[in-house]
Amino acid sequence: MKQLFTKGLFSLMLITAYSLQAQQINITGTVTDAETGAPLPGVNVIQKNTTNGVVTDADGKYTISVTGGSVLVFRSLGYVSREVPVNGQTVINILLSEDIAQLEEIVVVAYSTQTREEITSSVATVSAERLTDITTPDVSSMLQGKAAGVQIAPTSGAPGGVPEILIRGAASLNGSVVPLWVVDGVIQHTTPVLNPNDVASISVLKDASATSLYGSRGANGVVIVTTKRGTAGKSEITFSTRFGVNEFNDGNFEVMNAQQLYDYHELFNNSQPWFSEELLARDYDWIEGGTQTGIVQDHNISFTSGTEKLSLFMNGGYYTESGTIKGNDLDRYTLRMNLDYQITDKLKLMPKLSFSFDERDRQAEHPRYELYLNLPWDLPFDEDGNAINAQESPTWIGRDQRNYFYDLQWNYTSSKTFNMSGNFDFEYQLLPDLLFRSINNFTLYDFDRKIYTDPRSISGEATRGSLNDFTARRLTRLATQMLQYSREFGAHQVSVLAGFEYNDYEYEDLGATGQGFIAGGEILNITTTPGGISGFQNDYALQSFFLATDYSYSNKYFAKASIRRDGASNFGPDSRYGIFFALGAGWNIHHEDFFNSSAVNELKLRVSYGSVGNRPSSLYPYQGTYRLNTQYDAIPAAVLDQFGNPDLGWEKSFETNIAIDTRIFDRVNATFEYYNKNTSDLLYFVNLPDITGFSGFWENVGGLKNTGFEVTLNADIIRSNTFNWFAGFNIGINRNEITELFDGQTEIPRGSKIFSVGDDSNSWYTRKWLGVDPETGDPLWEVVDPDTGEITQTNNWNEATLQIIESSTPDFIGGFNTGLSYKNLSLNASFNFSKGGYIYNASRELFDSDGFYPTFNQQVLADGWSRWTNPGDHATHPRAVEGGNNNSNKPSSRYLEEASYIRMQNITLAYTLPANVLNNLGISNAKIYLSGDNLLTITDFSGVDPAITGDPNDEQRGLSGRANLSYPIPRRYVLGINLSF
Amino acid sequence: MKKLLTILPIVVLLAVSCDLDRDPYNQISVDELFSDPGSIETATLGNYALLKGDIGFNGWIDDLHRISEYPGDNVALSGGTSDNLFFLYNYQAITTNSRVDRFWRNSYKIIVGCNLMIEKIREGDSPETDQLLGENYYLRALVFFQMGNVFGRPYNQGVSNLSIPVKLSSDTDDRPDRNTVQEVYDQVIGDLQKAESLMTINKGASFASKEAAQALLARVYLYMEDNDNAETYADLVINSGEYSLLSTDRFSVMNTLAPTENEEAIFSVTLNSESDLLAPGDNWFTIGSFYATIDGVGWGEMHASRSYLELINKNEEDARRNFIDPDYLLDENGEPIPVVYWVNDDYRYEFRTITETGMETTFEDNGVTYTLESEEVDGRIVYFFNGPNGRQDVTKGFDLQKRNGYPKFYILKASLQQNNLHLWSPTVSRLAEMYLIKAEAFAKKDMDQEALDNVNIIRQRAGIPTYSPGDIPSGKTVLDIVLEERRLELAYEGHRKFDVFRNGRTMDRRYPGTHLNGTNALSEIPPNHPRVVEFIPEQQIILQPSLQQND
Repeated sequence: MKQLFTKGLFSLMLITAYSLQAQQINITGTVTDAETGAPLPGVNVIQKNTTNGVVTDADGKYTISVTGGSVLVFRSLGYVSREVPVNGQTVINILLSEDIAQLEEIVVVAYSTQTREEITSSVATVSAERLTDITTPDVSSMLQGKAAGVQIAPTSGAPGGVPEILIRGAASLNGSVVPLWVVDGVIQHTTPVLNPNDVASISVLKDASATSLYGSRGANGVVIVTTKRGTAGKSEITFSTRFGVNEFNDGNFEVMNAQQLYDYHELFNNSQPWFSEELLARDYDWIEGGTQTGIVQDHNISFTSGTEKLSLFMNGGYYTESGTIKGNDLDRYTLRMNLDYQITDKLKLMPKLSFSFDERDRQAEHPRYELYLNLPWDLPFDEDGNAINAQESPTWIGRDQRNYFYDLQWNYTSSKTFNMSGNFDFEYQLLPDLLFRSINNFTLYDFDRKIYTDPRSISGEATRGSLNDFTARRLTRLATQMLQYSREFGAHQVSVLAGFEYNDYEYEDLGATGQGFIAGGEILNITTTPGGISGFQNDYALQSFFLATDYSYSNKYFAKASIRRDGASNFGPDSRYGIFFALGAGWNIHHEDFFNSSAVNELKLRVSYGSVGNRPSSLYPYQGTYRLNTQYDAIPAAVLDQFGNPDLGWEKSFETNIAIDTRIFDRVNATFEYYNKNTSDLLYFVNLPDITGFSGFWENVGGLKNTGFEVTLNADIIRSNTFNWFAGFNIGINRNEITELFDGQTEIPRGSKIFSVGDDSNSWYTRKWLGVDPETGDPLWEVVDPDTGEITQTNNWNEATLQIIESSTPDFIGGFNTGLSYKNLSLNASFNFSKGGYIYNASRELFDSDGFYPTFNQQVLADGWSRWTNPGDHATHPRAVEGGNNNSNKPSSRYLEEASYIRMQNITLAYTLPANVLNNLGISNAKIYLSGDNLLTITDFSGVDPAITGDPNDEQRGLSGRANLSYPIPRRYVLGINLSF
Repeated sequence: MKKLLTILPIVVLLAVSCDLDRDPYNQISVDELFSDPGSIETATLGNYALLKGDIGFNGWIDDLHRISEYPGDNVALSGGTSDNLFFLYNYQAITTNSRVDRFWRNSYKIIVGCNLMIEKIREGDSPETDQLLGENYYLRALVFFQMGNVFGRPYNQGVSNLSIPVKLSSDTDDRPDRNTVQEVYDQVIGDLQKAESLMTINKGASFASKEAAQALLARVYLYMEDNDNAETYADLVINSGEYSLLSTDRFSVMNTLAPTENEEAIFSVTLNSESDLLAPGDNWFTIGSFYATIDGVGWGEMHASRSYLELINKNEEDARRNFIDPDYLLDENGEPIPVVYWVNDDYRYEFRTITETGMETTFEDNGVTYTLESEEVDGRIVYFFNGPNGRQDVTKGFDLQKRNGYPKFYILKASLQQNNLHLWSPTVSRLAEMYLIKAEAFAKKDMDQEALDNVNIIRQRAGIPTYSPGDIPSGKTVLDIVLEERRLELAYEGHRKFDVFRNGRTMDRRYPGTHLNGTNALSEIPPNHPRVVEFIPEQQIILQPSLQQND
């Protein structure tokens, strides 16, 4: 951030240096930190109201040539700027004091940067420091609770798991609802793999006016990541390392032990011949057997250096984590190199190279299905400690007769994922006010996987061993060419950006299986018979033109307008292009002369309006097709598949955003935002009755509205030389509502959810659970007479009425954090919370089944739950019946649980070694810290983790609200050291 | 250099007319497909592919098999399952059964696929195109007929009962409501007769043919109790000379034969060992996988029922016993363990290890030692003991592997084609059925001798004694004998449920299996029970509210 700003001004200075006039005097001086007395490199020293400026060197020294009567401005990110009249002085030494309020002054926005003051749209920023408190290799997970209105929806706590992100609610019914990622100006195909240590800052563009410049891909918000850059005049090697342990975190969830399960079976008088007290002699804890305390290590070595012409940032990282469920280890290697080279006054090259390499070598994750469902009465090992083949064991009782430990002895999966991104970016100053900027990127994703099935294993018995090799490759290309004009006319400041962008994507994979080989073989070459082959390919392309203008007057009034025209291959030739626009205005009231308040330091009003688009998730939705991936009797065949819609076009969202930014008592920053996003022409897959021969077709129909309110507060409660205390808080409230559906319909059910006009688009649609009949112990559901509305109850699941019951969307989400520091010691904690939002705890159908699955282990009844045993019992759980009680475990609101929670995401205690100690060792900075992730969660949810809001195999992933044998996010204890030389 | 650098960006900016046309790789547009004259064959094959499933599972025939066989009395399930097939087995039908939903969906995909071809192919162009046209008529009739059996009540319960919507076009706006049973039968017969007249080329048992149409017509008429026509069409097939019954030896391994190697196969939905079930995991999704675990592959959760085993075990030499494979438990020396077993009054299996000392065989039960006794009945040795509640007949044999206490009598009829695990080409029609159709038609016309003659053809081939009118056990009719033989012969080929109910009989499931577990368990299902038919999928009624649900 800081570096970027520095570089920008630096270039500007070089360009204008020639136009300086006579009567110049040279001024020299040193800039130092007001508190520590340390020299400050990289401070911008500018002659006021000109573009003449220099940057301080490593020792904080500068030399500038200015006209006699001018004023010098000293500016550095994170410090209070100072203005000093020259008044004939030739040496000006300056002390700058830190300014926490201005830490995030420069904000990266779509295709450019702005100061916080200039912004008219809704942009949340997260600094690197705030981002990386928790230990995870995934940047998106780190955003949780740190930006108002940004919902993070993980599907798994496995190493390297990537959550879904939802910004300001779901804006589409069948299209994509997840945001676009942009890294250093490069639009990403999917959530990128980024080393969090490479990240300088993250901007989350939330409203349509902020994202409109991304046109067809801005509908769901944009996450812009800026990576670190070298700083002029400063060379540093930083070594940071973390070492931690992961603990399996099963929350309120508990499965039965041998005795508990025995008592449960007694309840329904298990009639099986194997059921006897002898079972109590066998008690195996499958969860304990399959989980472990995992190890996490994160090591980074980075190098930054810079001269006036060249600056470099390099970081190499190694991250390793073993999962809390055994058999899932991640090794990740990353490298990033960002170079800025000012070749001539006019030309600057900014090549970038980064890669990540993930290795998961010989992994066999212990299956949660068996961990949660295998019986404690089934012992996986014999007396000698050898794994038992359950299929051949006469005493094995468990339903699937599967002991995964047996095959686990030999079978494994190995995978390697390689991501590489190379940029050839440059800028060329065509005219003093006109800059040409070019971003050119290739990104390659390469994935290799081998599934090894040993001939000795049960699954390899029939094939005499099988080897499956799979490779996938994805190549995305992006070229953005921009012309940027900016000029000041007195108090008027104008900038114009025009650009052209081309982006394409191609994916291809190939899989092959070989069978029959000698145990230990690893390549297809040694297999004797072919197993099956697969191959797939798809692609898309987009091209766009865009134009954006910004105008400001005297730092008081701001206006912006932008327009973008996008074409995408998803659409038919006649409806391929769409136009998107945005307007915005800002008013810095505190700069007005009439504004005179000692309490309110800043007051700004922002209003914006814009349109953005969305493409369908299907890449080829407009053509009527036969599919070819089939055959009959080994002859190629074609099956009628897609009902085409050549007129299919863009989904459009129009969003209004109104916000107030303020700073009061020089202590508290606050932002209040209100938004209203209307999406129309929804990309909707209209379901046809099967009788048409088609499942449906894509159509632009219906509307969706998201309205919400967001608050962000940051306060320096105590600020002194030795003791500081700050606190931050954010909350986002979103209301999602369907306003219109296909063909005037008011309700379109879709399995366990429904699209219903006036309701949340993630509303559950299921049978309403009425509990247990106290007389019989039968389950009860609600029946609503469709004509009279009369409500009755039934113990017949089929007869119960499907109805809307809650939704998986939380009422509000947010986070808060606080930090204390005393001299060199600091303590920080961050929390996140979610209220409302119902999870369908699907796996309870299996382990809370009232006897339906007598040979699955069962969940221990949670606090407040009770089992019906005698007439008159008022219980939450029906009478247990061998083979099931009236379909009591079929889907109903019984398994819908409110997933509200507050979680202490991180707590960190850090100590920074005093400078006087370090100087002797040649160390410029040293910090040591102890940190804990996820140590505390307050929730009533009966599953392992209320934050896991979806299943990785579900189409909607983390946003599905359906928890199925979840992998909880681990508890983590970390010790870390940062050293800079 | 400087000039070049100034020009370069401008060149890049101007080179902007990029091509945005992208087409799918695994699909082809309708227009492009039909621009090729060979396309009508490719698209007809697509309709067959839907019967089979793309790579050999999850096709139309897969769900049909489970819907028509699992509610029968030839099978016993050994546990609960999260697969909705459970509700097909235990008659606790739900309106959202994923198997039934998919059967409905695949049915109409095939029907619309056929309708499109019937609209596209001009009749009379050439024998080859007429053959293809006939195949589409046949496939449509097959689907209408079986859908009618699944969702509509048996013909003899009333022809004005609601059956399925008869959809005859490819127009997506044509969404008929349910037709009556009579209307569906009329359509099926019309389509089959059209198919019969159009098809002149027999491409083998993997494809529809004139004889396949006649064979299905024979069954349709039998279901309608039009016994004369049933007999006529069965005879047309028998006398066509295209098929012959397998020898007893080859019949005993019929499951291992590909349709092309099976001279009695008339039409089988063909899985090809070269192109289906190639990935190791594919076998798990097959029909056979649910009946047997072979080399560690397969769920093996549904076994032969006690009542079927008692029937088939009446003749030890019955070739059809080869389709049942008991999974014996072995002792430390790899030897089978001698036991006696029986089914108790709660329909649970009881197994007891026996000790054979000299001439005496004993076993212990509840601390009491019992001696096994035996007597000869109808040439068979029957074992029994005198227990606390009197005489208990038992089976003397070897102990079996069990699942949830249920012994694993694996069924192999749907596995091991060309010795490939669970590869199987489900039979739609084979010659043996023609003799059984004739037998049933004769029996219903009180032509007992002719009925038994046809039964005997089947029994002889199975290698077991034949019947003469004097041999009919007391209390049984010739029709009982015919239906018993039909059950023995066509078990696990998707006939049993329909055979019981269309003859107005009660499904007797008083034998061990998890259908007796849970609340509202049904051990006997009368033919007028509402659950003799499946529910129309709930989602379809939501999308087309005029569709009427079954009771």
